Amino acid sequence: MKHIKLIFIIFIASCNLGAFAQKYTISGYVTDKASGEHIFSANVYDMRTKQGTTTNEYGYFSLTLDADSVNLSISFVGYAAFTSDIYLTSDLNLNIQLDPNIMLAEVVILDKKSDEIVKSTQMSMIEMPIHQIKALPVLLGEADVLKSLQLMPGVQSGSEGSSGLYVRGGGPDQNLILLDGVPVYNASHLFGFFSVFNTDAISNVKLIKGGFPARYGGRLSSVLDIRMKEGNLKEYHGEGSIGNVSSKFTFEGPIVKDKASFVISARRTYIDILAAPLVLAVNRAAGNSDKFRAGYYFYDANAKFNYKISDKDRLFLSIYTGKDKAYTRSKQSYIYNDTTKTETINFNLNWGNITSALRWNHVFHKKLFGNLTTVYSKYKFETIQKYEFLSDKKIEEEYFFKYLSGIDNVGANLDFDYRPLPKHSVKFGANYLYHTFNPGGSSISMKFGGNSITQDFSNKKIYANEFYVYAEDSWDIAALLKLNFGVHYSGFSVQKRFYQSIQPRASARFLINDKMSLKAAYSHMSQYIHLLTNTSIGLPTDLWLPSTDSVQPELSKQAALGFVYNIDNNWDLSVEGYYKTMSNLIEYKEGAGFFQLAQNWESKLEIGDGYAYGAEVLLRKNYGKLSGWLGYTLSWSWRKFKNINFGEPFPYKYDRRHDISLVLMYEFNEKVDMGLTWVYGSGNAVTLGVARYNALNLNYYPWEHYYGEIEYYKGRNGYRMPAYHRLDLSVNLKKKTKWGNQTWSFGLYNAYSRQNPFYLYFGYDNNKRVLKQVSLFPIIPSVRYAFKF
Amino acid sequence: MKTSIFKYIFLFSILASLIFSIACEKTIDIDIEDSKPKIVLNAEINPDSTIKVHISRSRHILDIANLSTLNDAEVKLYEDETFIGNLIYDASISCYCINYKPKQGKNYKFVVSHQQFETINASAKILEKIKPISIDTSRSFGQYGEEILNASIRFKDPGNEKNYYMLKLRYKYKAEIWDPDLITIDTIYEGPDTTIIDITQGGYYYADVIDPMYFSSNDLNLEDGDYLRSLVISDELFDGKEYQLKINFDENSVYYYGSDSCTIYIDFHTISQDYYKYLRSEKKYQNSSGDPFSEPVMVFTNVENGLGILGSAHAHTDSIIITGRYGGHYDE
Repeated sequence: MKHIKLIFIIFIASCNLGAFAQKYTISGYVTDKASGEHIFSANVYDMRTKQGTTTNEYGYFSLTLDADSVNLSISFVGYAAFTSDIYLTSDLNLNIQLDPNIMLAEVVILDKKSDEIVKSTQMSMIEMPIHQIKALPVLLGEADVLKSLQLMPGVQSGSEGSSGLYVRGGGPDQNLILLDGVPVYNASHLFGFFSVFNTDAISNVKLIKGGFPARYGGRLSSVLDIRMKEGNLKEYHGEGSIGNVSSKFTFEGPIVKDKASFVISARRTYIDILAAPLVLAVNRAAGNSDKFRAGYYFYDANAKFNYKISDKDRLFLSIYTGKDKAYTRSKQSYIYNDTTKTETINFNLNWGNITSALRWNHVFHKKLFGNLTTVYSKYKFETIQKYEFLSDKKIEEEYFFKYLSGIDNVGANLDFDYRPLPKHSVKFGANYLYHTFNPGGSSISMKFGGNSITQDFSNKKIYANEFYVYAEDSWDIAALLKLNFGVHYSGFSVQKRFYQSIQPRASARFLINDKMSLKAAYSHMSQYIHLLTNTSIGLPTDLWLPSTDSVQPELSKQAALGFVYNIDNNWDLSVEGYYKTMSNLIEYKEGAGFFQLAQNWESKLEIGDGYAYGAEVLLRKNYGKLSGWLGYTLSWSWRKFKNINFGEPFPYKYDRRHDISLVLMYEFNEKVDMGLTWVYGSGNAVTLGVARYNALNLNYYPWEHYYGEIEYYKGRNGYRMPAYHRLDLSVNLKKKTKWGNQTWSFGLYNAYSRQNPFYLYFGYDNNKRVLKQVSLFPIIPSVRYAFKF
Repeated sequence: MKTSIFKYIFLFSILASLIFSIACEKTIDIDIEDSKPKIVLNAEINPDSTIKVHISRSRHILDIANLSTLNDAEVKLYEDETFIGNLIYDASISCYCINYKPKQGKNYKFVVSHQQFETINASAKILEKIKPISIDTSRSFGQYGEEILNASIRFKDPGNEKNYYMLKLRYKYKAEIWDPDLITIDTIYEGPDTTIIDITQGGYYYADVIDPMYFSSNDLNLEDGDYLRSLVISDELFDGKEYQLKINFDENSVYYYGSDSCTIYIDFHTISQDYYKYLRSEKKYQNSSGDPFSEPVMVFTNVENGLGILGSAHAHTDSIIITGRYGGHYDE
């Protein structure tokens, strides 16, 4: 507690420094002129005094300046900048609408954006415009937020096609994925090949890999903050597309012009519909007479409503729901002794998320902005298997198996932005979440010959309370030095046990000159929930589990150093190095796995530590006919568990020494553009037998001389799969029509058809044992037709 | 217009899914680094038996030939660095033997050389045996009316050092073998005393380990089958304290038909750390082998330049004689 007191004393004292000159505050919202939607992270800057700020998540800003003339500039990437000379004699409320037509003021905008990268204290952050995500060539033409982020240094993909994120040596569970501020637990569709985020419904994507501000917490490795569109307050608009695997449609518009709006978006795959004739044909070709159906589909839908109650109050309601379903159905009928016998077998695998947030923004005072959010989210995974045997429509035998796991959350956040002085930007707030964990349970029921048996093997539900409070200040100490420091205090109560953690956070920026800066950051993070997984793809069987009496919260400490160089107004170079330690990580015990259903989950766990270090280089060209980036990561990620690998450190599954991404987008003219992505990654680490030998004789009987056989591994994850590399290409043909715009997109995934390793196994060829590699995707063409009106 | 868009996309999707379905089954061969075959030594040494060592060779993972026993290796035995003698290959038991019993407190080293392989060595020390304070047995009935033998072994664990224990049950009986045609006693069969009772299978037909230590921190549950047949524990949770090991076993698991009684031997071993690590890891390995969704298990080895295990055990043995409804004679 002493530390907290000291931090607050420094904080209050620092807020009062220099509070002597006459000062006034300019505050207000920055919105998109065409849609009326708020613009997050727009720069608000006085070019005369070189003081500035950025709009918060809700487009609000507050800038306190001396009573003097102000040369105000408000800008955001992709919009024409607003500039105005003002003589400040009183507080000023200024709501600015930025024009999304960038042609006129392109140079000014670029200048400000690059400037912000150099001058901000925030390091290890990636912001990716949605239009860029949509322009990248991708698997089956499905633009994907998570896969686009995988192309950035420090962010790695898991296995082929997977949308899991592995940030700076951390696991896929160590990312706090927020959709409009609500945590999303399983962000995968189709076993990880697609993420649950529909790019048509999203307005902003931000990923933080290190130097975490105090307002974020709850995961060790990254924060992915995804904001949904708010809905156009002025006009009705729609967009949609039809692709190889899915179609989607989005519609938005005012409910009451300039007062209330909505956006709804939906997407569904139709692999099941396309494949249905194929499944039937295969079944018939196999000589099966029974009726057989099998399929898979996913859908998701987003909706958001926003209502401007007054200039000071605004209400938002956002909802996401999505579901994946894989199924098989078979039915066979025959007549025996004049009775019709029918046998049906149904199998379903369902999983999905629901998230919802109700948010109220209120401007308490020109310097104090508040936001209250109530959240609800639910993730459920379910397997159902049902067998029925009917005699003249009367059940003779029935067998039913169900496995269910999931996590529910309900809670609230209260966040404040306070701008007490020009050199201080303070954020503080609190969060509470009530978790209900269902760590997996199966039930079986049987009916036969008039008897019925029901057996339940459920793990008990676990209830937990999680909260945090935080305070942070972004402080311009001197012209060259800026500091963001804060503290995040969190607690977790579960099963009569209370865990708590005080996490200091600090990041600093030292300006070498207008074009270059050095940055440094240090942060502690804690994570009270764990993901138990032993598969390399995002299977829905992965279990989310709480910290309990025997499984302690995960903790990490990360230090990062960086250098940012704004080469010219169009090119940025950033170089960062990091070192991260992680403790209380969980893994399955050697020999354990998901399918040992009868066991309690805690008995299958090992607890250990990890450490990761590396360097990242990003050279990015933001605008012009040719844009894109080159990213390179050199990294190491280790795990150390007392009872795995005999206690010796071993490489993490996704320890990847070299990771390269080259992304290029070229706009030939207004009608044609093309994209190119090339990725290279060192091979994943796997555990593979290299020899086999006899075990000690442990037979029952002394006359037995059979010796068992053991495969010898060169340590956990001691073998490297072949390197991964792939080239993707896309061409977009755009056309303006009377009713709007249409785009034909053609893509080639894995253009040179590289056979990348998905997994390895030992097989036989002509009685010879060989190691085989299974590859998933060769060259895959895609086409998508998109429209917008 | 709309029809042509759908048609075009549909045809493209069919093409993409065809390529995709072919691709899933495409496999290619890749090289695996050459792992030189090594000498494999497997042995448990204890002061109650003469030394027997099994020597074989490992094979490259892609080599499907049999894991043959090496019968022409040179196996030297050292006691505290003093040469004791060479072990001689006995084809009847496929082991190298020497008529020598190890002694408590001594360190034993085997050096095995063979012209085709790198020379290996392995060492183990015979530890002082921990004598139980008491071994108590009683009888009870299980849920299906079966007769249960309850055994409890109470002992004091030495403090401030790591200790490892193995509990093994064996049985021996003398049976009258009847000639079914002549209805006369044909032979008297005397079983060996090394037939092990499986005490780790759990369930109805086998002995049931009820000791909480067995299910503690570092182990897997036993429901997935077991290959160890003995109870192996560490003192992790009772270091320096008195502890009582408890097991129940169904007398059905001991077959001694043709005899009135049967002798059960309770062997309470103190084992070396290396042996403990091997037994635990090998058990987990065997339990999970064949399950592609379980985590790989690395089996411990203490053989330098080679593979396998040299384990040491030192047993305190007690015995009880059981009689019951599963014993007895054929009806004449």
